[in-house]
Amino acid sequence: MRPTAGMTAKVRTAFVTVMVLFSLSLCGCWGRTELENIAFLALVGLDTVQGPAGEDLPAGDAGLQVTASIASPHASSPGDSGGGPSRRFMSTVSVAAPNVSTAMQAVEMSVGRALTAIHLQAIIIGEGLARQGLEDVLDSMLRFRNLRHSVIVIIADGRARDILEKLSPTVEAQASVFLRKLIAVAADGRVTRQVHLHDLLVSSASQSKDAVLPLIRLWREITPGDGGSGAWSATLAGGAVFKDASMVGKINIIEAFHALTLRGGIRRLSQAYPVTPPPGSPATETAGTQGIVEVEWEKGLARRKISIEEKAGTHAPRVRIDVSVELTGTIVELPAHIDITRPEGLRRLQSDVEKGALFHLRRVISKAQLEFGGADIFFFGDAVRRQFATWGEWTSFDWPERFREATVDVKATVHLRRPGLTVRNVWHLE
Amino acid sequence: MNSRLILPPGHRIGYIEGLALLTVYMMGKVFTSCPSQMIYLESTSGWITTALAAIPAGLGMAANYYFVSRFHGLEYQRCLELTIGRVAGKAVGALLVAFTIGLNAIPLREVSGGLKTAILQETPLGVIAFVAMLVSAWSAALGPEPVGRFAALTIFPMSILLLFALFGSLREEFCLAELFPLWGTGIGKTIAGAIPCSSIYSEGFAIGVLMPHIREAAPRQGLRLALTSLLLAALALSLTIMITTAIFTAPVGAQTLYPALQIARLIVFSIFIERMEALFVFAGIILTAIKFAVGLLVGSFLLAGVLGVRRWDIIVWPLAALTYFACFRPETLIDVFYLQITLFRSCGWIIAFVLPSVLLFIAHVRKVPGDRSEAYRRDDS
Amino acid sequence: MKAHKGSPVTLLRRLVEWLNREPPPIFSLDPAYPPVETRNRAQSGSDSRGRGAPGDSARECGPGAVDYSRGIGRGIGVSGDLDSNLSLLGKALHIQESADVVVREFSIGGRLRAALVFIEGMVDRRTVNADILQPLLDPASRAMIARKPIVERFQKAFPAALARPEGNLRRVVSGVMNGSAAVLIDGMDCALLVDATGVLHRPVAEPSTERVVLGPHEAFVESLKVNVPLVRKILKTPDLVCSKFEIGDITKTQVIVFHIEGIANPRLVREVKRRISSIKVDYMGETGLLDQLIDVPRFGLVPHALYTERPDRLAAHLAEGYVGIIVDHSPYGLIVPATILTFFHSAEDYYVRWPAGTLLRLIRMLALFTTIMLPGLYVSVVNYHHEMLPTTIAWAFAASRESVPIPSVGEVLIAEIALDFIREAGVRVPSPVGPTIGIVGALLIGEAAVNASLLTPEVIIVVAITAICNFIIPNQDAAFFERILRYLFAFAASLMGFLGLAAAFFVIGVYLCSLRSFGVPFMAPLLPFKMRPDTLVRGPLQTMETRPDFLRPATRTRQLPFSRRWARQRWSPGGWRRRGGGGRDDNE
Repeated sequence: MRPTAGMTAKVRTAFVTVMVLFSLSLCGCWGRTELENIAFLALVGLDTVQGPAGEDLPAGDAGLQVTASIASPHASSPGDSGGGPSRRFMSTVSVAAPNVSTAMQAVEMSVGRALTAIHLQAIIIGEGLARQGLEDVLDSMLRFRNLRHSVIVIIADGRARDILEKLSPTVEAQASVFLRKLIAVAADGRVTRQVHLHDLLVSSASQSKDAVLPLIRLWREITPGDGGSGAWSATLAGGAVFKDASMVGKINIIEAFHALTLRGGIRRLSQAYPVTPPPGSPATETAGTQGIVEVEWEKGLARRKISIEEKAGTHAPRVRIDVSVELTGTIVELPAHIDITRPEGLRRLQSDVEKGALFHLRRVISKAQLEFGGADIFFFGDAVRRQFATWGEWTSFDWPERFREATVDVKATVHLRRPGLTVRNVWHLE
Repeated sequence: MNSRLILPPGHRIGYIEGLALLTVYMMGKVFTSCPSQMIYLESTSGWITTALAAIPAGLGMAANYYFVSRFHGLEYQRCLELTIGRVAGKAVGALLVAFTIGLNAIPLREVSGGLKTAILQETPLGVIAFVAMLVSAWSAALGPEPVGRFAALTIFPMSILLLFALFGSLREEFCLAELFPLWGTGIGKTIAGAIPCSSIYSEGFAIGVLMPHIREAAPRQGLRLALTSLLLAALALSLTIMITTAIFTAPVGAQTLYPALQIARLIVFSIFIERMEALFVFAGIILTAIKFAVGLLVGSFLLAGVLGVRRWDIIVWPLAALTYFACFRPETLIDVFYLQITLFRSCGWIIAFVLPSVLLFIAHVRKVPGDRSEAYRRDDS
Repeated sequence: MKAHKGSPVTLLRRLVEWLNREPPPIFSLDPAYPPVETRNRAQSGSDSRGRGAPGDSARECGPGAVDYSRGIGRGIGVSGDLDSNLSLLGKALHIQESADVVVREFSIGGRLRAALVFIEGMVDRRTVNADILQPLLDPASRAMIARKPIVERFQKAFPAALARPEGNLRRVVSGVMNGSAAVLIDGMDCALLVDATGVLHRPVAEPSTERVVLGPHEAFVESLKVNVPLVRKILKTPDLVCSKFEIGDITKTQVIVFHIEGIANPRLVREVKRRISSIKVDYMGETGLLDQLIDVPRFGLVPHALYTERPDRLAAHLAEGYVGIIVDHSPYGLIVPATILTFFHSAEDYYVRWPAGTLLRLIRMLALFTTIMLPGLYVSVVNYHHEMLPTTIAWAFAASRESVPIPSVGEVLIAEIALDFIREAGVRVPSPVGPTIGIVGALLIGEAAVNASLLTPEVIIVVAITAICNFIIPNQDAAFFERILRYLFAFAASLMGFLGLAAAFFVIGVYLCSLRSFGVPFMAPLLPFKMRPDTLVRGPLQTMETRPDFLRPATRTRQLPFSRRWARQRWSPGGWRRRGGGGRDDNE
């Protein structure tokens, strides 16, 4: 049956005419933008505005310093070798503005094309701004579709503008690709985690999912006589700890690894631990008074048992957290004097590694509780949250305060495997 | 239709098409509006409140079904008139028509706004709404048969796509226990909360209006069809809510418009195909177009009965125009939310639960028989 | 008060009347159909010999209709006067003007005057000379005249297998026009129509559009007398009914409707015959014309009947309960009713093993989706949804588009239209030049256009993939439909990106769901859904136990639940026996 079934010819003609006239209003192609009329934002850096003495001014008063790295592949025509843009098509523009939207508008005016953030690779936030708090910045970023929630966020050890203007990676062609791959490799090794804008939003709103963002530091090799003209590169310096959308501290790579281990699951990562040489063994001058064993962790499991104790006479309940970490690793490097074919040698080695792991685990927990004001970067609160049916009840429990006062007991069990194709080294062939 | 039917029934709108029509009509909430409010409710309400909201929804749907099935296949408007008299029946019918227009207009506004935000920022809201209403009205004028078939054809792949969208953005640390607060009661509470959401805007009465047009829905099957639609839609809504709660955590999810869309934006399938929100918006547009078409069908059947005319297919067009213009009556999004809360949440349960129960009671007390000889009965020869 | 014609009251009254007319039914009114497994002897179709030949008794010349039978009235019979018959035939056949109408007068046995009337080129010379003239001119024939009734004598005199007496002069004319030779004898009040058809036609060759690797390589030709036996030799069942119709006032084209009695739904057969027999046109030259004349609705975008040039495919469909139609002078047959999946099934699907058949079908489904949606997807992604592209690809696309001044929508349309030009040119180009077209087309559009910054490489790739996928579709009608859809989707995508695509998809989908081919829903068996092993995938042959349900065949079961009885047998010293005991089982 046709929609116009039963209509006479005149009525049908009138009907179709009216529909066509209305439909003409559809022919506007609003929002149609060709690819060559778009300027792709590859990286964005957010900093505070600096005062005359180089101090960070409050973002709410002085605004933001927004630095944009833009890709505009206008000269790569068909027939040229290579399909993508090269380094010369990434330009950097930095403006100071009251907020992000105004800054983007100013950048657009200077570029002359429609700016789009849909292919943004990373947002780099300077340490100064991160410590002041990101609530206002995040709100404008998350409201519309322009910015994807899956863009990664990086904290700059210093100013983000320096990274965008100076970074010149040696292997990768573009800084944005380099940073993305750097974070991915580090996340694979579990010394950091790719924190997306969405994760930052969730951690800001949640009491039990405080984020540890990757911390990037610029560096370059200075050789005498080069006049300071060497190329700048960047490296992962550790993690920036956040609590409620504000940065509260930093942790180094080792602490970051152990913190993420407590969250659950590890990937392959090599970690060095000091060992105590057995009594009577020759001292290892190269390693000082102790040897170093390098262990490649393969498997890790952190079991958490959290109990809430209601003590009489106190207003707030007390939380006790028992964590037992089970780690399995392969010995990668070993001091020459240690003979792991003997059970006591292997046992002593395991014990030393356990002590090393426990030391780092306890240190990072203590830092989180005391130095970072109860930032739950280990997600212990997730297990507690499941015991509350509604969000209101969970909020009134005030988990950051409970975690800060919680008693945490950590136990570590290490299983080491003998490595490689040799049983013992050639210096112990007796 | 000017082609003679050679082959017999079986290809009419049967159980499957009817199920698809009703389910999509209720499931359309996943892409149009409800989940954000549902998340807010789920995160703050207790067990008792949620269950108490679910019970009237289910009872209302059953009451509608029994009311209509009492009349052996008469049109809904005719059932009203036989029960409470011609004048009162027309008045109630007109009220239901107005309610249906509101049921369609508010989601049309929200969908258009969502599409504008998601994929077509520069396109005027009116144009988006016009396209949605145009295609829906065109398909509704073709009849429930092709719309039901198309709904049945697309519901399965669309549901898979929807589930994939919902589950596709799970993070590494995601723990299944996130879905089970209070050690397992969360799922039950979420489904119980989703049932009234499926029908609290009175899609439940669509079963009554559409039932005479669903062939092969013998009395036993008709009730089964209604309850199956309700459960399927509630399941889809529950999944949306649970995953949204798990991924966004409650306060963030409650502030998010169109959570299914937001979750789709988080999906990264592989390095080659990324940024899939447009593809899932594609699925959402199809589902909502079917939803609007069903709403127009329901409204046109009622309005034709109220006006006493037989050409319900012509009535679709002015009804679509009314709905289109009504969707712009709320000036701002705040007005839209206000209308949703005050009109539908406060009055919707009356249409969903009170009205059919009262009608059923009156029909039972007055012992009103079904009338086969009336001209408004469906074609059954 | 009497209302005037144009007054508001009248208009309002007319509006109310219009709104109160009988609404189009939501569901068609349909009496119950014959129960399953009943083998009814339904009415068979008419042929030109019996009652109801549409060219004769059913003809109603209404006002304005052209009557091409002005030469001879309807009821004029053959008289015993040879001169009178020849005079009437001469007027009807325009003997004076037409050079190929031959009237050969002779005498039988030297005494009886007779005449042979035929069309030069329509008859086989050898048959005329050896089987008609020679026996009649033989002096021995004179002896036969004396002993038997005259009609019977001459009927028995001919060795020709098909010689029949015809008393109606109009039918004599029709027979002559169809390749028979008419023998008129003085004193005999009927003519003898001898089937001496010898029209030159193409030999049976390989199909040009439905080639297969495994399977028969025969195709229909332009002669009905060759095509019908091609089907008959596959379906050697006496229940195969071939009903003949004649359509076209000028062409009097013969149309054969096949169905298998006891399998095809009698109502379907009746409807097909009803539509064919009620066609009133002057010219019926080919199957395509008949297809359009029996199609509903008037401006149908979607084909409702399946074309095939393979007799095996037609026979297979007849065995499932479909109805087949063959038109004289056309190498294509029609299969009705057609559903959407039949356009994507090929004969080869059944000749290969089921995993291969399934793979072929899935490839076709993917090709269907690609050919329809790819240009629209490209346009919408490049113009509206840039976020769908991976970053490096987006930058590469942007780089290549920098030097092209034409919008991407225009590029796609130009490339598609150019490809259609090349495709049409390739069909009509003489074969020695054919390969050159491919090279020229590739050079023109591919490299030169890109180098001249008219098109981007991405558009070339999109259009090329689309064209290749279009060629994968085995049915030309469906391929044409997809070509139209492609433009629609690209246009919709250019207007509103994914909203336009989704709206177009919705409209097309609902439209397809609303279509019926001879009463069968076009989307069957997808909807109404019926699980069958022969829909999107091709299941094992032994599982295809029933005929398609949407056809409502008279006999639904086509094979036993366990059709491979050999699999149940086991060898024993006494012979092959059925497993589980039982006697000797010799596959009988």
